[in-house]
Amino acid sequence: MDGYVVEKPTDASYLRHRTTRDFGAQEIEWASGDSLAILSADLSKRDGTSSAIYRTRQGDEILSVDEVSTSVLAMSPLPDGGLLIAGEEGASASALATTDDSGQVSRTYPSLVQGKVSGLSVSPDGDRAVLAMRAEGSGRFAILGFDLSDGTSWRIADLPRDEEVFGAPQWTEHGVFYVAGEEKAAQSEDAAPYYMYRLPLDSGTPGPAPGVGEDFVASSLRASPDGERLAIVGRRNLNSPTDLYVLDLKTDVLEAVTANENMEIKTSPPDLSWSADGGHIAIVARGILSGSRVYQVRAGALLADFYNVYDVPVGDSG
Amino acid sequence: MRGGILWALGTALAFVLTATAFLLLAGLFATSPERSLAPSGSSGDSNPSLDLDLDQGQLAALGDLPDQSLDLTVHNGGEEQLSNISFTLKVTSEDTALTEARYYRATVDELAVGTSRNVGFVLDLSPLAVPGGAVSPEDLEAPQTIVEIQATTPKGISAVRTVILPLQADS
Repeated sequence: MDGYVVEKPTDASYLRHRTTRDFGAQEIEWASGDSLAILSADLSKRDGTSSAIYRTRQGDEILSVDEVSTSVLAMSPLPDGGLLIAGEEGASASALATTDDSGQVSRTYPSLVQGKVSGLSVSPDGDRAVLAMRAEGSGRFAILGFDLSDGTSWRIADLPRDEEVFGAPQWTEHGVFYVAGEEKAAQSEDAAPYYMYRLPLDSGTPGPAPGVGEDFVASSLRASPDGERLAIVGRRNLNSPTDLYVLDLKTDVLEAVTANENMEIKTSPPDLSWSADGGHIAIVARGILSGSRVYQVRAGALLADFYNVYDVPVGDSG
Repeated sequence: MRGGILWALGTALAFVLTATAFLLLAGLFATSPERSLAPSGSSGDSNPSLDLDLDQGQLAALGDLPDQSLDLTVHNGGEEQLSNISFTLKVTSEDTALTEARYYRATVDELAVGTSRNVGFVLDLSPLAVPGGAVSPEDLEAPQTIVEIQATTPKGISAVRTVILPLQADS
């Protein structure tokens, strides 16, 4: 929340623990049943050029953290607890490692990945990972597979020049799904939008993701814990409002689960998450504010004008 | 003949009851699976004795700069004179990592029944300081500015207005 981390039971209205406000958190994942992994600016450097992973400790009021790893590029939770971490290795390569659910580095993979990992995710069975990687020099993006048992990697696809992957590709039994578009599209209203693609596991040729329609503009996506559905924040077309959708990967049926012409859903990849049982999706949203508004209550009583975490029930797959 | 009329009436009644049941069932299952995120908002209570009014045109002209003028009209709509009305104006950021707040105060000594008075503030609406190590505002959606105004009298009459300002850096 605003760069710091709070822990709030889902059945209570109070915040139980929080980190200091100047923490600078960018992404959070559950590293175990009672501990969070936080990708944050490296607190020891304070220049914002390097990221580190911290792990929370239970405290009375302040959420205390321990440093797990520095010079981190990306992280993803493992299905049985712990994390897969991509770290910087020199100027042009990335190294991968796993941590166990106590936060200790449990395995470091000796082979390096040539390029800088920009996002990664682990398959639902925990056997493989998929990486988005940017080559130093050419700056070209590629999608790589990674075998967590033997540490080998293989190139699945190269993206067209000047196209970038937004967020982490998602590995499912129905293919690798990712969001990509022209570089800098996220920062410019005039640039081409991002679209969603599927890479069949037996082919290096990406195609438009089935089921969403050719005009669908995707912002972020996340595979369900069982890998059978995708949560997608996006728009039916360029003139549609942003909503949360769930794509059933068995049937290629896309279901809109929110209808929010007056709500603005955050579109960055870390602001979309599944519950462990796959029955709920958490998103962050606020009311659309086109001008100043005046209320007859204190600011603390206002809700819709500010970003809140929303729990959206989506039922079970199948 | 009478039996035929009764049979016709019975048939018509059965048709109406069956149709009603189908309509009710259709209504039950026709609910859209899509959900609206918009929470039920609170518009708050207005206090007729002490009313505060802000000029929307002036609000729209505010920028994220120092020396921004904000005028407030206070009106006594009650049945007795109000004395020593204290105004506290607080400027904060939507970004809760920014803990800095700017406070402004004013006082109106007396306000007769049915009259209004203008209370002026000059605000510093320049961006609030980012704590060391925190994510800079450039990394986030532009946080909105919150202006909270509270007027109270020694007799406990009070009124609150909260203004949400989507100030832009280039405004």
